[in-house]
Amino acid sequence: MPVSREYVVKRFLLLVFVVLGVLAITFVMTRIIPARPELLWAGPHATEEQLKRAREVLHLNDPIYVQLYYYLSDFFRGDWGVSWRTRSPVLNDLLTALPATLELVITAFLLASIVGIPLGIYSALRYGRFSDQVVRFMTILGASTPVFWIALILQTMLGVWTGLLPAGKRVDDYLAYVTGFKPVTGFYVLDSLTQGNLPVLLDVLKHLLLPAFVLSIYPLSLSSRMSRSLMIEVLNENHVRSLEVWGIPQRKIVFKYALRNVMVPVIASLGLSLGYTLVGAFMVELVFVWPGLGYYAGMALLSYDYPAIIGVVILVALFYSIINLVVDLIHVWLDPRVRL
Amino acid sequence: MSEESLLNISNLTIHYHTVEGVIKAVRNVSLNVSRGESLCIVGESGSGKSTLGLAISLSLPRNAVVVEGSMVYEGVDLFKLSPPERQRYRGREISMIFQDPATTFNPLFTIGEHLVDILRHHFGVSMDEAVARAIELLRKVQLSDQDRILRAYPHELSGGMLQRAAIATALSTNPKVLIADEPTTMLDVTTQSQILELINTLKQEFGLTLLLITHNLGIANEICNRTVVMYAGALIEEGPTDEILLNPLHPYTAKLIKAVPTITKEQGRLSYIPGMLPDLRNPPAGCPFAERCEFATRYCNSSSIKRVQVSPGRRVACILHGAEA
Repeated sequence: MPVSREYVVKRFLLLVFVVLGVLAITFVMTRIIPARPELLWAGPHATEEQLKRAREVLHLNDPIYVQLYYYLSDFFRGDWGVSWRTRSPVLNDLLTALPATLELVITAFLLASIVGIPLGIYSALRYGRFSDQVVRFMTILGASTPVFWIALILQTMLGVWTGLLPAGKRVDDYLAYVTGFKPVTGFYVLDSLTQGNLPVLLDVLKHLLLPAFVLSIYPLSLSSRMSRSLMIEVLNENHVRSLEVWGIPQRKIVFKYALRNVMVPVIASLGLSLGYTLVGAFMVELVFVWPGLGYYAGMALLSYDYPAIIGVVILVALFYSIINLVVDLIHVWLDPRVRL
Repeated sequence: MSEESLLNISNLTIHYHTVEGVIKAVRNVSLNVSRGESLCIVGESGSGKSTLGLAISLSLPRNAVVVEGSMVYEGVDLFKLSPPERQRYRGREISMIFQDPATTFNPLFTIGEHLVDILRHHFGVSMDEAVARAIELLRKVQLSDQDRILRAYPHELSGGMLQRAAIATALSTNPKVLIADEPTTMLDVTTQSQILELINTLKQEFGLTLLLITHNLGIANEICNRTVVMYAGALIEEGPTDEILLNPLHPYTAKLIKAVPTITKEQGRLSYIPGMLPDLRNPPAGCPFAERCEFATRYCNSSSIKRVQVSPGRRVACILHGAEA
């Protein structure tokens, strides 16, 4: 086994420290913004007395490190605070929003891998020809266009002007109601499948298509460009030439041998771009009113909802760190030269 | 040595298309290879000897173009074949080993995966049969602990072991011709002679026709009875190796022999050939060596110098030896 147990333990410890560090920084940053969250907490018609009470309840009169202490001691008991906007526990809010985001991100990601990598390899094999140029142009456009801009344009064109696809949300509420659709896991595709609810499944997929496509554009372009340039590079390497000389057909050299050399770095960078995709998801969710983490975070930011903001950031940091670890472990598994 | 011709190359010209321009890597090379002989192709870096090797093994890079010439192997002009027909010759008839054993194998696959895949592809044998044959091949290249080698990744083996494994792989297809492109250059000196000896032994055992590409005339003398010397993409001298070494006709060959360091000779400084190879994007019309040659005459630069036969089996492209200008 090329991965030592100490390494994994070390990485997990590191992960804990990273998340704690992110937590502390976010906490301090939210507290030094010159805002008056007690106004929000106490409501628009609060008296001076109520505001004072609100400041006490929220520990806003204490120094920041004391506030951090209060927060951390609650945090480790599973109490991530109560959202000042929704008035429900942040952890509950997050766990409700998480499946929506994951469904979006995973779909976008599958789309990016399944389309992006073959597209890049096709492009590499057509090196210099017209189809290669088209793919290169499209992917450089895709990698450099802001995701929220594409989201708005496509939403306007496909959702508003032509009405071909829903302009937002995850499912038609009326349809879900009349067919008795119940979100159990929060992954609507999965839920409608397990409940055998075909109309809702189709509707969910229709809702998912546009935001997932928009979100996939960046990782798709990235993986396509990477697999293209890597394939071109690998095909010029000596070991490809020796297999050719020894009589292995080109097709097999490309799809059995060179493909693995391409996949190792592509998987690593795709894994890391999952983090960016999550950030992209925040924009896409706001545009498409997708009730996920991004939408939640956006609303929280607009309303100085400190506990909610910190909760989202911690979740994202956790997500990022775990992905990093998984990517490294996959790398070891794919490349016999790497030992950790 | 039988005199039957196995491979006949005539007027071969190969260009590389690069961003810097068209490089004329091999220019008008004609060469006859007899069945079962050992032929050395000698020249310095950039002389076109590796390109010639890749052309013979039908594995030129994508940016190389055979502009002119034919390569008749057992009566068939290989350059006239369609790609699928050509595939039948790759490995199966003509195989090759390379300079750098560390990059010969794909780093993400074991030696066994390469070897077994090639055996199964060429002979359609079962997995077990392929493994058995692979072990036998590794034994033939004098690698012990064959099971471990089959399971090893390239980075886990030494250069010498990898070159042996490469030889085993190249011979796994039972080729008639083996091209060895500087097979010992990247190895340390003690391993070098072992590998050369191994190649020589296997040549006899497999009845191979050997084309050894090298810049070292000493190596040529150890293995090959015949040698051709290349310079700037052109074949400038050809003949029995011992004759060339004793009595080089082309001034370039003479300089090249002088440049091989020996321990028996007392030599203050290593000798070298002043000057550089001509720019192969725009090679000179006449003798390519004229610019560096101390015997150069005003006729050398004029027009192409043809190779002439000086004695049986001995040809040279030099005006000093009666080549026509």
